[in-house]
Amino acid sequence: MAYFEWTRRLTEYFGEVHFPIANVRLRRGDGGLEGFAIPLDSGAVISLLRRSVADVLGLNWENGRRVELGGIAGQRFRAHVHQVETVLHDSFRFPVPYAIADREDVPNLLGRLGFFDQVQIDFDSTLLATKVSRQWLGDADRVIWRFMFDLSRQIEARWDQLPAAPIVREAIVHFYNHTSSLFACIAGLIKLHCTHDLPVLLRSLFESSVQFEYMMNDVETRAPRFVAFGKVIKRKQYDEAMRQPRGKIAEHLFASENREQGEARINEEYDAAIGLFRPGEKRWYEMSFERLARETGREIEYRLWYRRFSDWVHSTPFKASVPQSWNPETLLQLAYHYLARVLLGIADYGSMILTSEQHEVLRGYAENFA
Amino acid sequence: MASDDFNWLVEHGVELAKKYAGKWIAVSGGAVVGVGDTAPEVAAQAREKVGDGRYILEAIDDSADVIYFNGLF
Repeated sequence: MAYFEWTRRLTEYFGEVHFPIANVRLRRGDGGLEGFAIPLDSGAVISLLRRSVADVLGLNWENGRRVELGGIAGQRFRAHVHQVETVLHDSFRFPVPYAIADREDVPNLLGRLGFFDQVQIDFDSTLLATKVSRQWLGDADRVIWRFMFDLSRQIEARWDQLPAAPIVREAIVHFYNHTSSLFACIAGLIKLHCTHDLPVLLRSLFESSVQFEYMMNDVETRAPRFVAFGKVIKRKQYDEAMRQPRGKIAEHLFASENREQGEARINEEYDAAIGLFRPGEKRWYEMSFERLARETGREIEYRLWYRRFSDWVHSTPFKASVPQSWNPETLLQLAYHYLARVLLGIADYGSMILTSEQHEVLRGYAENFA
Repeated sequence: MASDDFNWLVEHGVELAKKYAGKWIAVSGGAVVGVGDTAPEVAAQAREKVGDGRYILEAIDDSADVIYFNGLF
């Protein structure tokens, strides 16, 4: 990843403004590299350079493909397009087409063709910097990504088709939201090219997917238990928080004028729920997670992935000894697998009509894992 | 180092733009080592002072009140 802080310029009308520029090195005809600071402009269809840059790069200007370009005020000028190797840093270099103008009174710009459309650019107004990195999805993954995203939205739009009591729908929606949120986090890390700790999220996604399938195997009975157990945990956490010595947040809650009302509600919900579970029960599915994986036919994944990912969650010495080696494409396929299982489960339960292509792709991802 | 030169250029953007509006400059080691109207002229000045490839070239616009755009006809 290349990281370029924004510079500043003093304008006549708008005061000091920030200005994204990049440090690039361009390959000269003699093999050397010439360094430039060039503004980034996503509004430019192609990167643009002043006439004299052709000379400093040792290019025969007129040999490039001739084009005519226009500026925002309608002015037109001639340029010749040359493909020039562009280096952002030593391991990040690629050819970019530059329109080299017939004049000096144009700005140097990095534009869309061959630059913006080849990399991931993040204009970070929080850090006042531009991050330029490799694309985070290849062409095939982009298609699948779009497919999963569109299908998720279609399913979301049909919640009211779920033939379910409100409490059942609540449980299903919880698992859908949790899965979607984890998937978005995974995508975010891949996009940032920070994939070494993806296993933490994938482990959570696996747990969610297995619990969901267990629930859906007898949803009318199990969904209410899932929701009810949430009330049991809530009371337990509240009791823990109120126990002395209290932390700052707990003190704030204790002093709240709504505390009595809130406590009464928590207790009421707890009393209604606790009878469904054995005393001291730690999980709503009332067995170990390993056994749950076996019961839902996911034992192989449990052994292959879940236990390995646990080293990441618990920061074991094994994890510390492993160099950065995860293949992000593999982990993304795994995430698609878990997401597909949840989407298919919801679509099947709700008898949602999917196209045969949608069904085929979902089933393909649901039944295979990396 | 190129990134140090770039950071210096970024940090001094306002004063560089004020002083060198409409010019090409070359920056190296926390200083401007070349000024002129074309890239080759400025690169030559910089090369003589600091050596090949040890500077960054920038073309400073006449004005900062600009909207950049270009399209293909």
